[in-house]
Amino acid sequence: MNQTTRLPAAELYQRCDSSQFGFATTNELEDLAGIVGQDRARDAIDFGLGIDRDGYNLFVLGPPGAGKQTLLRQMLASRTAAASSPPDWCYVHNFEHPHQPRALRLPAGRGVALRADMRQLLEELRAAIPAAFESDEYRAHREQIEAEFSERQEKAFAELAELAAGQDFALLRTPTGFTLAPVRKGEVITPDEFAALTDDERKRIGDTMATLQQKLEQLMRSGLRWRKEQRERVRKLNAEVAQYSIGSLMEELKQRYAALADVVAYLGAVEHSLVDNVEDFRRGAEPASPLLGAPAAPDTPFKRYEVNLLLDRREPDGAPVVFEDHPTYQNLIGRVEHVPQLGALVTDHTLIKAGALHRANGGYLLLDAQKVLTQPFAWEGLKRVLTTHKVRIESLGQMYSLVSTISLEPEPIPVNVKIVLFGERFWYHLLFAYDPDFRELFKVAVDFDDEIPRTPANLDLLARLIATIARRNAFLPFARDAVARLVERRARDVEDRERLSTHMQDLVDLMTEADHAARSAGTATVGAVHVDAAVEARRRRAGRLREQVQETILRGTVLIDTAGEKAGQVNGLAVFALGGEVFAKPTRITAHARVGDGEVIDVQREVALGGPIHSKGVLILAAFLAARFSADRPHSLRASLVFEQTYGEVEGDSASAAELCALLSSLAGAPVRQSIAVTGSVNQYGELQSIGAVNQKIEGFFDICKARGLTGEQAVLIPASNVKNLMLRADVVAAAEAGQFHVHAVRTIDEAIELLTGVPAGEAVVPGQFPDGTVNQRVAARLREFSLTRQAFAGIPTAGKWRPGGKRKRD
Amino acid sequence: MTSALPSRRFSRVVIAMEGTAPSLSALEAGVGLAGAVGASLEGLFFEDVDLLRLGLLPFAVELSPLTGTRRQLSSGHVERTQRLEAERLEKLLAASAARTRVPWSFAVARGQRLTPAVARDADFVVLAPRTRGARGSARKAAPGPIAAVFDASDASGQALTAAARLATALARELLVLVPENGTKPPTTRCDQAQARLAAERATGRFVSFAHDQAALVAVVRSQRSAMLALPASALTAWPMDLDALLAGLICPLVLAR
Repeated sequence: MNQTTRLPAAELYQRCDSSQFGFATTNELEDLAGIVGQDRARDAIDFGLGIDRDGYNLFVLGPPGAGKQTLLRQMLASRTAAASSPPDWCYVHNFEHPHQPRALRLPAGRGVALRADMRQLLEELRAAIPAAFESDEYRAHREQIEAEFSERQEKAFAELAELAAGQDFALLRTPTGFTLAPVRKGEVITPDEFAALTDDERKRIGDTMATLQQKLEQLMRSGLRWRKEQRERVRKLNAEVAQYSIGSLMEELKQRYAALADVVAYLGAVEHSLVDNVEDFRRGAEPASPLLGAPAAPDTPFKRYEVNLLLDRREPDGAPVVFEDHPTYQNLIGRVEHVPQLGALVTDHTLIKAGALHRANGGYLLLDAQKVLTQPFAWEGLKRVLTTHKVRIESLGQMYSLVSTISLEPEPIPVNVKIVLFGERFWYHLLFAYDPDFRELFKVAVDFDDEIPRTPANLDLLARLIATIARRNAFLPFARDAVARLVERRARDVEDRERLSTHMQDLVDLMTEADHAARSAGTATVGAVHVDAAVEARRRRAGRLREQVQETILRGTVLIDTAGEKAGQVNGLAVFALGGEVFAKPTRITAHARVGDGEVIDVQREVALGGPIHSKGVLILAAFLAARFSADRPHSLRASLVFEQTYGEVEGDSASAAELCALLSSLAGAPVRQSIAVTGSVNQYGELQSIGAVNQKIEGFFDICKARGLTGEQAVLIPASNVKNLMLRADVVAAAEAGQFHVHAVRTIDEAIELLTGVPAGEAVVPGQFPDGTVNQRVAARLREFSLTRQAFAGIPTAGKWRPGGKRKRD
Repeated sequence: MTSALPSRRFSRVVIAMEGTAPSLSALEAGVGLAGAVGASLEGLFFEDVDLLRLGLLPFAVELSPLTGTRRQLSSGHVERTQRLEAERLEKLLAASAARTRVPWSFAVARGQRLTPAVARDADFVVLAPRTRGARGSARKAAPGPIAAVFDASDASGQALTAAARLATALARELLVLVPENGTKPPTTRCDQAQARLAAERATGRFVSFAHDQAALVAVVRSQRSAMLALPASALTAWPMDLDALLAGLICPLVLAR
C-alpha cells in the first residue's frame, strides 16, 4: 500500500478546539442581534430598504432556513420604528355613483374618530328627526298644506256636484273613477224613465252631460296639478325641517374636519343625502300599520352613512411590516364580501375588506415567492399594483365575467409599499429569465450565502448565535464543548472543514434535539456528548433504508468483495439521497475489453439507465484511453462498462475514475484489490477531480467493511482535491487512527491504478511507450495487439506504422 | 241614563263598507275593535244602487282619475267592478282577521243604501270616512288617540267601553269627548265616564266640546284621533247628518248601540 497517499487520521476530521472559547457555557455570552456572516446580503438589504425608487423591491434568495426572514426583520425593525405611521383609509358610500365607494384618507388615528362621529351623528339624527316631524309645529304645517289641498279639491268637487245638481245630475264615484248620472227626485233615472223622455229632453241630457264631463276632466287635471303642488310643498317643508335638524350637527362635524378637504366634501354629500332621504328616519320611528302595530321597517338605509374603517393606524407603531402567509389574490388585493338577502347576494361599502397590500401601505410587505407564484392570479395582481401604485379591489369573478352578481368597484387606493419576496434561488432565476416585468420590479437581489469561512471571528459569532438561540428557546445552556461540536457539524453540513453552514433551521433543530438529549440525561448543561447523541439518534431514525441496503450486501444478495483481487472489477461508491438522509453504498463496477472499433460501451446508457453526466464521464475516460494509448494507430478497442446489480438510473461522473481503473485492469490483466473502493471523476489527462458527498461515500464503504471485520487493508481512494471536504464520522476516524481503515488521496489515475493493483503505473518514456511490466505498458501492448488483429481481419499488412489519414509508412 | 255599570259582553262588530269609500282604515279599526272587545266580525259590503242603475243607461261614461280617459259604462262593467271591490275587501278582511284570530264573515247587500239602520243587531257598526276628490286621496288612519263621545246615554257607555278596551289593546291614549249642553253639567258626565273607565281599569283624557256635529268633527280632527266611537242614538238625538259627519272625519267612525 502506498504510504504517501494515505491520509493521517488528523486529516479526516477538522476538530474545533473548545479551549479557544473563553466561556464555560453559553450563559456567559451576550445575545447576537443579527445572524452570522451574510455581509453581502446585509449590504443588499440595506441598499434595498434605503432606496425609495420605483422597482427597487427586494428578492431575498437562498436556501430555506438560512435566516433570511430573521435578518430582514432585524434590519427592518430599526427602520420602521423611526418612521411615521402611514395614514388611515376608510371606504364611504358614494352618493353620486353608489357602486363606486369612495376612499377617504385621514391622518393616522382620525379614521376611527370619523367612524365614531358618523355613528354618533346617525344616533342623534334618528332621535332628532322623528322628534322634529312629530312636533306640533310640523304637524300644524303639514295639516295646513294637506287641508288646503283637500279643501281646494273638495270645494272644486262640491262646486261641480252643485252645478250638476242644478241641472238634475249627480256626481258619483265608481271603484275606478267618476261618473255623472241624470237624476230625478234624488235618484238616478231608470232606463224606463229615460226611454219615456222626449227627444229634446234626451238631447238636453246629452248636452248637459257632455259639458259636465268636460268640467270633470278639467277638475281631475287640476287635481293632479294641485297634488303635485301639495307634494312639492310638503317636500319643501320636510327639507326645511330636516335641514334645521341636520344642519347644526353637520356644521359641527365639518368644523372638526375642516383641515381635511375630502372629508368635508364627503360630509357635504352626507348632508344632502340626509335631507333627501329624511323619510328613512321618519319611517324608522313609525310602525308600518298604525292600528295593528306591525313592526317597523329595518334600518338598512342607514348603512350608507356608515364609515368602513379599512385601515386603522391609531397605534403609533411606525411603518407597518406585514407578512402574508397565505398570499391568495384576494388576501393580497382585498375583497368585497356579499351577504344573502331575500335569496340574492348583496353588498355595500361596509363589506369591503382590506388586503395585505392595504395593510402594508406605507411600509413593507413580506411574501414567500413560491406561494405567490402558485396562487392563481396573485403574481399578476401584485405586479399590477407595483406598476400602477394603486390597489384596485376587483373580484376574480368580476375580472373574468364569471359571475353576474351586482358588485362594487371601490375607488382604488394609492399605495407606497416595498415588497420583499423570499424564495429559493431557482425561483429568482426562473423569474428573471422568463418574466420581463420581474427585472423591472425587483431590482434588488439579496443573495444569502450558504456558507461562511471558518474563521475565529465567525466562530465567536456562531457561539453567540448559539447562546441567543438557546435563551430564546429556553434550552439548557450549551457547554463550550457542545458549541465546538455544533461548529464541527456546521462544517460537516457543508462538507467543507474550512467553512460553516449558514442554515439556521438545521442549527436550531440540532440544538433542540441536543437539549432534549441533555434533559433526558438529567444534566444541567448540554455537552458535546448530547450533540453527538442527537446526531446519532437522528441518523438512526432515518437509517431504515440505509441498513436494508447494507444488509443486502452483507447477506450476499448484492455482490461486493472487500477482500481478494480481481481483474476488471472495482468497487465504486453510489450515493442515495432520500427524505433528507444521504448515504452511500459500494457498487461493483466491471469492465470487459476486446477487439473493436474504439467504442467504450456504457451499458447503463445503452439501457437508458445512465444520466447525461454519467455518460459524459464514460466518454471522457474513453477519450483518455485513446489519447494515451492509441494516438498513432486505430483505437481498436471495444469495451463494456457495467454497474452491476443496479436497477435504477445512475447519474453523475463520480464513478468515472473507478470505471477507468476497471478498464485499465481488464486491459492490463492486472487484478484489483477488492478491499479498496474508489470515488472520483477523471478528466482527459487522467487527473482525478473532486466529487460530492465524499464523507458519506467513505462511511458507506466503511460500514460494510466494519460489519465484515476491519483488516487494515480496507481503504477508500478519493481525489486529493476532496481532502478539504473530509469531516468523517468519529468511528471512521478512530479506525484510521488504529490503522484498521484508510483513506487515500490521489491526484492521477496512475496513482490510483498503482494503489489498486500494486503494480507501477509506468510513466511514458516517449509518447505511447512505457516501461516494461507496468500497467500502462501492458495496456498499450494489449491495445496494440487489438489494433494488429483488427488490421489482420481487414486484410491490411501489419508491418507498417499506422498514420492518421490512413497512409502507411514503413519503418 | 247610565251609571257605572258592569261590563257588557259584545258579540258582533259590523264593518259597513261602500264600494267607493276608502274602507281600509275602517277595516283595520273594525278588526282591532272586534279583537279588543272579543266579538265576532262581519264585513258588510253595500253595492251602490245609483251606479247599478246608471250602468243600465246607454250614455253612462266613467272618467278615470288614473289615466284621464273616458270609458263607456255598462251594467256588466258596473256589476263586475262592484263584485271585484267586494272580493278585494273580503280578502283584506280575511287577512286582517286571521292576524288577530278574530272570527269573521262577509256579506254583500245589494240594492240598499248605507244608513244608520243597517245591522240593527250589531253591537258596533264601523264606517269609513268619506272623501271627495280623487280616489288616491283616501286618508290613512291617524296615529293619534282613540276617541269616544260620552253623552251619558247607554249607547255612549258602550262606545266608551269599546274605545277604552281598544286603546288598552293598542297602547293608545283614550280621549273622552263630553258634549257641553246636555241636561246635566259636563262634570257629572265626566264622573260617570270616569266610573265606566274605572270598571275597565282604564284612564282617559277628557275634552269637552259644544253640542253639535261641526264642533265634534273639529275636535276629532284637531286631536288627530285614530278612531271615533259615537253612540248611534246621537244621530237622531242631536241630530246628525251621517253623510256630512263621514265627509268631515278623517278617521273611521264606530257607531255603538
